Amino acid sequence: MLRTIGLKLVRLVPVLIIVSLATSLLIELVPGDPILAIIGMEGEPGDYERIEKELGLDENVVSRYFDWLGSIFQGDFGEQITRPGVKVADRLKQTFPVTIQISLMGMAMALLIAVPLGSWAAYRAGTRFDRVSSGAAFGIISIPSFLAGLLLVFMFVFHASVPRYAVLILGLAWSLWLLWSAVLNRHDQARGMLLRAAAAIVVAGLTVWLANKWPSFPRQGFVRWTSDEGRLENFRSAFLPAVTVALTEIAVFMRLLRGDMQATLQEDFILSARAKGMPPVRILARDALRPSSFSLITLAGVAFGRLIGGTVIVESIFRLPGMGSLIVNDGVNTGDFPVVQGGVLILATFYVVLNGAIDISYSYLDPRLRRGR
Amino acid sequence: MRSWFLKLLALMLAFGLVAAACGNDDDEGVTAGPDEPAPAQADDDAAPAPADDDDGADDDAAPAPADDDDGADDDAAPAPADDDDGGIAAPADSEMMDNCDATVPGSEITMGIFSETAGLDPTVSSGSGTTGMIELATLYDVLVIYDQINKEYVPHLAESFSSNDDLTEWTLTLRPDIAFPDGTPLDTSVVQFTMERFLREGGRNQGRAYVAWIEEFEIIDDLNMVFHLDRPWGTFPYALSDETGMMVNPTVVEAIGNEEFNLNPVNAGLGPYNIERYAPGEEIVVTAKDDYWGGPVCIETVRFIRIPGAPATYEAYKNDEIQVAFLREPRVISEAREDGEGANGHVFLQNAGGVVFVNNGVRGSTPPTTDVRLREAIALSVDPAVMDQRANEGLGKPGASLLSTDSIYWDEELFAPIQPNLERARALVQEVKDETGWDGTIRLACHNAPSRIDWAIAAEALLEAAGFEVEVDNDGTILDLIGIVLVNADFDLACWGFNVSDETPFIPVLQFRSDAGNNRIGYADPNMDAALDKLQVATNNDEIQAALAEIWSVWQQSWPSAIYETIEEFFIWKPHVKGIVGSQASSLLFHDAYLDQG
Repeated sequence: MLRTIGLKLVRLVPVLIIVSLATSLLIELVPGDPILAIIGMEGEPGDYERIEKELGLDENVVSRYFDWLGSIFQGDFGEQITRPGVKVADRLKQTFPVTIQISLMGMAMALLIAVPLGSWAAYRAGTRFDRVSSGAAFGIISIPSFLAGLLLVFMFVFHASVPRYAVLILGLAWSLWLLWSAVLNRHDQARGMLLRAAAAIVVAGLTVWLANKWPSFPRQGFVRWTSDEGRLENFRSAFLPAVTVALTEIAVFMRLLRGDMQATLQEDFILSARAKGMPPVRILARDALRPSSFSLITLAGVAFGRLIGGTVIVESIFRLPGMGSLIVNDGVNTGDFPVVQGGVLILATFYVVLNGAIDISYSYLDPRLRRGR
Repeated sequence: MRSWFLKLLALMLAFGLVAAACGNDDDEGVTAGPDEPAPAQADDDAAPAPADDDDGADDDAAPAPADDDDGADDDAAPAPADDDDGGIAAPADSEMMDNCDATVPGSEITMGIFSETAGLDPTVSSGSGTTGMIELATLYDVLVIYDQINKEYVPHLAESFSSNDDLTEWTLTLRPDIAFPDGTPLDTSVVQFTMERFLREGGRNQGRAYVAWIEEFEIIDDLNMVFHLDRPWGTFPYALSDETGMMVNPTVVEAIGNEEFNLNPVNAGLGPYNIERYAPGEEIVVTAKDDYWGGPVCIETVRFIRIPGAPATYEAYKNDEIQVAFLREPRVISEAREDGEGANGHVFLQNAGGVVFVNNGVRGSTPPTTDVRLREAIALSVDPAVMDQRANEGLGKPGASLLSTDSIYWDEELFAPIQPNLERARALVQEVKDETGWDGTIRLACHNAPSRIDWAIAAEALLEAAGFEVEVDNDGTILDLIGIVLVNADFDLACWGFNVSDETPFIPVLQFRSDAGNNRIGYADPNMDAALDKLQVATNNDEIQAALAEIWSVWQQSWPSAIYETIEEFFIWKPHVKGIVGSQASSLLFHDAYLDQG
């Protein structure tokens, strides 16, 4: 295992050098010039040459890249060109935790919702539940994240009573349905009826509690985990961005897991478990889920890596000081190459390490791979 | 029997749950969650009465922006008194308003700013209230402020200022007994140090251009000094009210160095607040000083954040996440006014803020627009109403005049707008075509912001109606446009703005002087130079108005560019926020701000 990890870490070095070199070349090709960002529309014609000389930006791309690389090996990410004195490392330290939290919360929400729904849809393939959940998934996939974010703001910030009453009505309807089914189901045993009635009480209680404690969400901004305002404020500020991130992933994960699990449920060992009278939940959770989760884990890993650098739209909508905003707004748009270089380096490292970890996780998920080594 | 009992029990439970859900619902209101802050006053929900002049949509009214433009003006600053030398002295009752006995613990306001400053060093910030000046003023204060009620500059950190007859020497007297938090006194050496930094540090702030006009700082004593200028300047106090007038503590700057000073200037200013947190891309937080020279600072914390886009900024304002907002988009300003927000706020006008910038032959270039007939044709074909309809849904302030009808210098006869005249424009274009063989092609550079794309479509249509063949280039960003215009001078026409503010019309129009360093279009007209000379030595509003009228008259002879709108910069704040004062260049001052808990 240590050898595997060591090999993956060694492979990381050339990958990062190639990525940073490519970034350095690409930033030359995209529009954006930090000197123009500095002088602005009020600048004078002679300002460009003056500032270029003052900041030493008249070097060519190759020597600039090697200067940067040399600094990186000394642990120095350099300074932001458009903000004098601001260290890129400080900006990365400031923004990375924000993006990590939003991405983690989004992924956790997506998996928590997608795994049970996808599993149940596979188990009840072809039923009304499967058709409805599949339709909803396609609907959600088709909503771009910027629109989803704005819709969430519209609903949860400016018309908070709508989702609140929707939750209340749906929860109570569900509770009533449970009660009704308990009352009408003549074939059920008394124990089953009591269980359903108890479930109805729990659902109704939770619904009423949630409706009464319905939180208000901010339109914008982010309260840090370490802030004096507390963890609750942190979660409150991160909730809508995380839901925006999660929405698309939920649909994709659900569809993927449903397909894989449907195939797994045809396997002999599942038939054997059914024949032994195992309850469906146990079959799905303990027997079918693990062999069905390869694609899901791979995709979740890729999606997580993508979210780390790709939440710029969500960050813009909710004014989150994250990595995406840093790289795009402070880096690419203004041609501030130390910001872009530093940001991409961190993202590439994270991405490669994450995918390495996913590779390693396969051997835990499938004993055959472990023994094959 | 058992089955019936269970059914009855289930139905009773269901009934009870529904009743419980409904019964508890009215206690906390629909949208108020447990964490929602309590409203500051009982009648917050009531929409404030709309302002009856410049905040209204009625352009026919001739508004005087000073009349009722902000809540702060209710706390009217005392009128300045002339001192014995004919200069401007601080009011006899020189103390500022005491709206509280001490800082109110826990009091806080958040302001949504327009764009972020590049740093907290006044030489680094690019200037004006749109970019950093408001935040910096809370830290450093200024020598002079622009009194928006009386429309003149009045001393602030300064005690008085006056000039000699030919306006080349300005004498400044500082208030005594003002010191930085570390005890360093405010004296004339601090003023000199502060201003010379703009030249010494290379500086990104445009103030370096007019600090360079100061030939000599003559220090008379600790509190008196004379600025010897290399040219007469009637509104020199502007330089004392801008970033160049923000006093920095030499002891702190020298101790921590320029870079750290730009990021964390603790105790480095004389303003009512000290820096608490500066997180680029996130927020600037300042906290009240307990020993501010002007008396108690009522609001403990002021937070500055930037929310991308005016719609999102206004949404955050409506959601009470910010209490002060800076709006610069006509559609959102219009919405805010319809919501009645104009009653608490202030409008800064950027006259000639929307301009079709015309290359008159800058740096040896030879665009077709070096021909004055084509420049006139452009000005006559650009219909402000059409441009406004297309770019702003008709909600902007269109007008082809140097000044807006809301300007304090406005006079219908002196500043009569240019009337679109397509017939004459066509005739002029045809005349040039016939005479020179030019094929009518003209390049129009703009950028890819959605409103500018609409703008370019309208401009292209209007110009083509006059006989031009327009080649639009609006693929790039605003930075690309800056490169095209300022660096490469590779344009015929461009979307741009002059931003002639009422507080200081001289600085922006200075670019039309033939030898100006910031002459970006290559315009040169001796008559304009003469008119600018008059504006340069104008010392009061009547003289400024007369000089501007002459500039506008010359403009209509040589047509340097085509003006089509005034830009409004609209600040709004919640009704319970009081005492905010507007100064110059779209800046606000918070030293007298307080929260009305009544």
